[in-house]
Amino acid sequence: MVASLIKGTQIVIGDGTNPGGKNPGGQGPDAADDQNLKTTFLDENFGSRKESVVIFPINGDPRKVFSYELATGSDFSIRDPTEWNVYGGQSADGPWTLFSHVIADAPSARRASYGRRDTCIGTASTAGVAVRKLSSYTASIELIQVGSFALVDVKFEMFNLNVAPDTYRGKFQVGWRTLQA
Amino acid sequence: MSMSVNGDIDLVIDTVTLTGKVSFTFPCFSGTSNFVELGMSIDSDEIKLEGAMIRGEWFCQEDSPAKVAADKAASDKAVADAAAKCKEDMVPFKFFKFEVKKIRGLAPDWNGHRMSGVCYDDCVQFSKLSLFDQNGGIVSLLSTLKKIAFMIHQIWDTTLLIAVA
Repeated sequence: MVASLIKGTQIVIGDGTNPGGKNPGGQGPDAADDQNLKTTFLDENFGSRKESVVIFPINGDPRKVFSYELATGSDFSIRDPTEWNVYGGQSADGPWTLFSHVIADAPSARRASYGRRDTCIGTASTAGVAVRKLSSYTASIELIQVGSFALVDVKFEMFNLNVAPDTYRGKFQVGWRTLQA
Repeated sequence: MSMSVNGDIDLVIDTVTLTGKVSFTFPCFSGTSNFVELGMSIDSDEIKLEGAMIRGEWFCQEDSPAKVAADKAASDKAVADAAAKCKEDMVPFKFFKFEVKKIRGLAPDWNGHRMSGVCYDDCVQFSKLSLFDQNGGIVSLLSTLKKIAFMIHQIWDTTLLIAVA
């Protein structure tokens, strides 16, 4: 099933590492790139570290990695990755170039592909909202990340928000308009 | 369909500055009334406000199918163009890093659980990570959020009332 989705030339990678991770026997990073869907990578330290990093060296000359494919594990769908970052670097110690930040729904099936994903295309994310004064409220939403670019930037501005100063029981006049950058 | 916005707020009333949290949820169903919900909590010496929810009525208007299609086509082209430039600018690299930040977990209050000291849902697991030197398919990632953004085109001024405890 997964093999049928593969297009292009697969890049041969070497032994991976999982810095700070804890892998039961046979479930280290290499279990993820051995082309055997029955073997799984597992990091027991994800909960304590709030992240899990795997680093793979590319065999031979440096390469451009234009896409990648991830597949779910053999059981426990609750362990499926749903948000990740993709980087490239010249050294295992960095510095790293971030190519994409991805938020994804994991397939419900086990040992199932997330689909071929473009290294450069990330997923929509909502930006933080900072409100410093009520008369000028701005919320920014970056809809998509491509490399270091945000393609669409939509801003919402709230205006006409007033509070009666003497009673603390007042009327808020709330209006919104959409600004498309 | 809905969108939520959360943030901090500083409210200056004469010489008093209140600091609190606000959250907004925008449902959006075309052709019928919607209600925007404003939630606010305030914690200061003068005012305590918890769990105040205010509702205001508003409307969504959905773009025509033709405009939606045109927007999607333009967005997909922009994605493809930017991705192509990203690849053109990409310097061949020697190491690939995959950094998992979240797992499916047990929503909504997932904070990690262990059973007899062994990880249960606080570990990450996957069976394959393969790299390729050719493009993956362009996935239309814009649809949901973009649709929300463009559908929120107008909200009538709404009178809201906050009752302070």
